[in-house]
This record gives sequence, C-alpha cells and structure tokens, in this order.
Amino acid sequence: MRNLCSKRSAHASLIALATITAFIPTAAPAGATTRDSSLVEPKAAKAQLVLWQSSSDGAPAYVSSFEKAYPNIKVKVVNSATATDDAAMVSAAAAHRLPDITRSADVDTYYFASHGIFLNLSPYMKAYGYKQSQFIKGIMQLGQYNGDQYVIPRGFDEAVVAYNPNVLAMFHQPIPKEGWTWAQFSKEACAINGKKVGGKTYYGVGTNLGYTSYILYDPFMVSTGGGPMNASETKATFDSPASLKGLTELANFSRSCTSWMDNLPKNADPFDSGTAAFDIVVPDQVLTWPNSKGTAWQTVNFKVNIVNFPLLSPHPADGAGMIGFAATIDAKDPSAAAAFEMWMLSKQGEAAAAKAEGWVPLRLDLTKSDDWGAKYAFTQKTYHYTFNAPAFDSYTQYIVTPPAKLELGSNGTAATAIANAWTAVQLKKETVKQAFTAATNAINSWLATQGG
Amino acid sequence: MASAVLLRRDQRVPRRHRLSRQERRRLREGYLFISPVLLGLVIWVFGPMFLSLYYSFTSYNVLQAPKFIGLANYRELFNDPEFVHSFKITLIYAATSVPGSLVIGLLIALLLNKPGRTMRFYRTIFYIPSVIPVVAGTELWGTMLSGSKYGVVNYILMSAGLIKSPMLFFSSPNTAFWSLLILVFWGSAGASMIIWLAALQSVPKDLIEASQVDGAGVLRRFASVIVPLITPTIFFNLVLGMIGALQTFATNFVLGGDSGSPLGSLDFVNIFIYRQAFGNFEMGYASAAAWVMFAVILVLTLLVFRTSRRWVFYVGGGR
Repeated sequence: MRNLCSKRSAHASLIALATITAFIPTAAPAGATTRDSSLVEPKAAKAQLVLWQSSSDGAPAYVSSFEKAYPNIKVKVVNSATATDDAAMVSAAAAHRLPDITRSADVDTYYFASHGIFLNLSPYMKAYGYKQSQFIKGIMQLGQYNGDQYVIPRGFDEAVVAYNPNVLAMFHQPIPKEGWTWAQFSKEACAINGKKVGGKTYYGVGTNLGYTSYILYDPFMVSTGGGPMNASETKATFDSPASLKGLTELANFSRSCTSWMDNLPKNADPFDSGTAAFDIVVPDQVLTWPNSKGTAWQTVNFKVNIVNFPLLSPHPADGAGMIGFAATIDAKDPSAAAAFEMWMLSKQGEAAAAKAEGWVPLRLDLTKSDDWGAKYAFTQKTYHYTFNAPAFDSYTQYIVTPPAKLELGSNGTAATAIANAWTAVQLKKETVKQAFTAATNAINSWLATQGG
Repeated sequence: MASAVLLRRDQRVPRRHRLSRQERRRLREGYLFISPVLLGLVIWVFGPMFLSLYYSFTSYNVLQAPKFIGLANYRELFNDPEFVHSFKITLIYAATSVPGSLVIGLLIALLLNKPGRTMRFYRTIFYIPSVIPVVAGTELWGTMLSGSKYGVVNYILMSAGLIKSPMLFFSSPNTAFWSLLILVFWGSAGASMIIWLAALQSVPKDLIEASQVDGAGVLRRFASVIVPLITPTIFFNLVLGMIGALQTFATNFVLGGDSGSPLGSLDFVNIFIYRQAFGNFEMGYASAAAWVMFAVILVLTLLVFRTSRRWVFYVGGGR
C-alpha cells in the first residue's frame, strides 16, 4: 500500500510537473526569479511578431535563437526605412501601423516614450525578475524615460581614440597605452598641433566626432561636477560654473590641440589623410566605415590603432551611444513583444546578439570582450588596426548619459541651441560662457513650453 | 421708375438657353473627363490646405487629436524671435536674389541673343545648371565653397597666393547668406536666360531699326525700346521668382540642415516650418507659420499684379 501510494504520488508528481513544464517557455530567461504570469506569458497560444530593423542591423542572426527559446512565438524581421526616420515613425504611429517591435536609438527614447508610442517595459522587467543593477547603468539610462525602461539596448558604443603611429613617431611622441591620462593625451596632441613638415600642417587631433555630439561634451561637464540639467530635471544647467568649467576645458583643448579651428563643419578629417596624430571616434564607426565604400578609413595607408578615451579628471567620465529595441503600442500581443525584449536581456539573448553583431553585452555578469574581439578580428586584420577590447569593457563603469528629456541627440530645440553655441565659440563670436548661457536660456524657455 | 429699372435689368440678362439632350450628355462627359483632375485638386491640394488652416488654430502633435486653441499659435509666432528672424532673412533673400537672378539672366541673354552655332553652344552651357538636381548642385557648391583650406575655391585662391587663410563661405553666419546667393544665381540664371531670350527675339526688328535710324544708341535702344517690350516677361519672371524665393527650402536644408546653420543664417521660413513640423512635431504651430507665409506671398503677388498696370506693356497697346 505504501509502495502503491508512493508510486501513485510519484506518477501524480510527474504528471503535474509535465503539465507545469508544458506551460513554461522551453528556455526561461536567465535572471528570472519571481514572475507575474499575466505579464510573462504571451496571451495568444501562438504569436507572430513583426520587428522593424535597419538594413544594416543583423537581427535575423539572433532572432532564430529567440524562436528556439520561445517556439510559440515567430518573429518576422522587416528591413524598414521608417524605423530610422522619426517623421515616418510618427506618421506610422498616428495611423496605428507600427510593428510589434521596432529598432530605436538613444536619441529617440524621450519623444516616443513620452508620447506613449513605446510600451513601458519596467513592469515586465520586474515580472521577469530583472534588476537594473544587473546591467551597465549608463547604457540602460539611454533607453529610459521618467525612470522607466522603454528601449532595451541591444548594443552601445563608447568614445575611443584612434592614433596614427607614424605621426607620433615623426614628432617623437610616445605611443599611448591603456590607462593613459587626459593630461598625457593633451600634452601629446598639443605638441603636434599646427607643426609643419614638408609643407604639410600636422594636427594633434583630427576633428571628426562632432562637437555637437553629447557623447563628447557631456563627460566634460560631468567630470568637473556639472551636467546638462539640475537634479530634479526641471532646468538646463549648461551655464552653471561647474558645467562651464568642463565646456571651457573642451573648448580650450579643441582650439589648441585639434584641427577644430582650421576645419569647420563638413570638412575632410585630417586624420584620414594622415596629417593628424589622433581622432576621437566611437567604435561603431570603426566597424562600419571600412565596410561602406568611399568612407574614411577604407583609403588610409597607415596602421591605425585604437586606445581607450583617456578618462577625464577629477571625476572620471566617458560618453556612449546606444541602439536598441522597443515594443510599441500597436503590438497585438504586448506580452509576446515583451517576451522578446526580456529575452534580449537574458544571458542567451545577450550572448546571441553579441555573437551576431559584435556588440558589447549589457549584463555585468557576461564576459564581454570575447565576442567583441572576435567581431573585430576581421576588420582589424583588413584595415590595420588593433583594439584592446578588455580595456574597453572596463570603462563601462564610467559611462555618463544626459537626461532623455533634453533630446540632445535629436534635431529639436535643445540640440539646435547647443549646436549653435559650439558654432559661436568656434567662430569666436562668443565666449563659452556667453554662448552656453544663451543656449541654456533658449532651452529653458523651450522646457517651460513643454510643461517642464 | 423701379419697374423700368427692373425691366432694363431683365433685358440685360440673357435668356437661359435650354440644353438639348445631346448637349447635356456632352456636358456630363466633359465633367467626367475633367473629374480626375478636379478630384485630385480637392483631395490632394484643397483638402490638405484647408486641413492645415484648421490645424493652425489647434495644438496638434499628430499622435493626439488636435486641440482647438484659437489664435494662440499666431500670437506666439509673432513673439517668437526664431520666426521673426526667419521671416526677416527670407524677405532679404527674396529682395536680393530675385532682382539679381533677373539681371544676371537678362545680361546673359543679351550676350547670347545672336545667331550662330557658337551661341547655341553657349546657351546650352549656361542652361546646364538648370537641369542639375538642386541637391546635387548644392552639394557641389558646398564642396567648392567649403570653409576649410581643403575647399576647392580656398585651395585655388591659397595656392595662387591671393589669400593667406581660408575664406569661411558657408561656415560662417557672416558669409553663408552671400555664398548662398552665388549658388542661386548659378542655378537660376540659365532658366531665366531661356525666357529672356524668347522675349528678346520677339522684339520687332523694325522697331529696333527705326530707333537706330532715329539715332538711338545701344543704351537708349535698350532702355526705351527693348525694356518696354519685354515688360511682360519681366512681370512673369518677377512673380515666379518672388514666389520661388519666398518658398526656398532644398538648398538651405542641404547646406544648413533643419537648424539653418551656421547660427541660423540660412534658417528661412520654410526651414523653420519644417523644424516645427518634423523636428518638434508641432503641426499646429507649423501650419500657422505656413499660412502667415501664404498670406505674405499672396499680398506681395497681388501688389505686383496691381502695380503691373503701370509698368507692363503688351503688344497692341494693352496694359
């Protein structure tokens, strides 16, 4: 009897276990602990998701991994020009023609999140048991609005410095090493800038990365204790003494140690023609430039090396950009769309995406440099540069990002005001203080009309 | 008396002609044939126009339903320094580019208004810029007039020792506007030259010969015979040129983006409208700016039409 009971119990347990297992996704995302089943389980027994990506994205490569993990959900990947065009996205949203999931960049987070086009993924993250502390904070912030997550970053780029060993050797400057300081970088760049050899002018840094890019100027403000907005995010603070100190440091460096004053916008970067020792770039550019015909580094005839952007002092800071995926309000089955988003955060998802595209994973518990380095192996060999991926990974702790509310990466009022301020400084029409005070006033007037 | 007046009015009104069945059928067919154009006009031209007029009285971001706010957009526009700046430089641009293009086109036409194969060759050469797409032409001039020493013009001038440091051209707010004019004259002179040539060739030769017999010199002949006879063409070019100049967009967008950079020096009204509509997604505000510009263009066009009675002469004595 006891045996029978135990056999029955065992059978019942097995049946119960099998029944429960049947309702659980075959591969549960790593990190999932407690779950709100209403958010976790896709509503439809079978779901078909439509995902818009840019033609240069490689979603199909890792979407198949997702479909293996979630056999009931199929993802149709569509190359869509709309996904990278804000106006077209707004039109699609107005017509309720958005896909379930769309690619999105850091610059778009605020507008689409604040206008209710993207789904708030924070409840799903909680239901799936994810915590923000599991990921790189600065990059996750690029997909946040009002403290909630709307875009799940798929990959990101930090600023790095490319250098031309030939130019450094010509001016007897040492080859930079990982861990170099901003003071060392400035000293080397300034020592070369403006020197003439054989009728050619050589520059310390070729200005390729635009000064209007927050990836460059935001870390400078943060390093001196300032920042683009006050703590309550009600007012712009580009004109605060601390912010102005950082901006002035960047302006002074740019005037004395770069080609900024000689090469106004839309000009060729002297680094590409071999007449600048350094260039500040984001690795995405390193990856994509050689692959598109006619762009900068396809034609260089010297060995390019890459080293980390020297951390700024006294507060170390680094800038970065992000591309990710958002679930939209037009998603037919939001929980299915969210399942894809959450899978992107899982160990399997991050590893698959990193392998497919060479992106650095967001998870702090994943070894980043392996996939990253493997992806770069091809371009490193073909286009003569070396890249220290592990060192790059270690910098993620210093990434700073401006508040999404300012939309500094877009073409709105704040971005235009900052671009105008830099132009005024570059053309010596205004001092840094005058230019950024005017920009701050313009931004604050605009913020007042936005109810903020 | 009243009945007499009424009677006379009745007499003036033509009797309504009763259409035959065949005439009615032909009328129906006529309407049917022009209906695609009428429908197209109503749906694609008048529809959006009047919709934008309605939006101009609303706060509308495309995603939420428009909210009626009366004249608030218009009030804000006239207090918006960005719009005032855009409006001002657009007017200055129209006032400089239109006469400039007309004069340059006319001068080229006068030089080429001669028979011969060589003239035909030169006419083709001068007309080529008109068939080059605006974006391509603008990019070309952007490279030519780049503000660095790597710009084509700067490189030539510096190599020749004519300048020591590069001229800024499109990179400086002080020079971008004038650089734009060079581009515009280059692009528009060919098209207006063709119209001027047609006008010049329609000037009766006997009048020119008569004035020569009377002892009129070249300038006198030009001022007193040719110019009066080509005033309908001046009028045509002026109206079209003015409307086109006030609607300039593509060149400025290619050169200065949606902020009209550098420092808003190319921030014409249409760039402002585009920025508000597709940068800030404030469709109501952008519509209000568009309607203000429409009103300005309408008033200026009517003004030119009104004054044309005094200075435009048509062959046969009409004005």
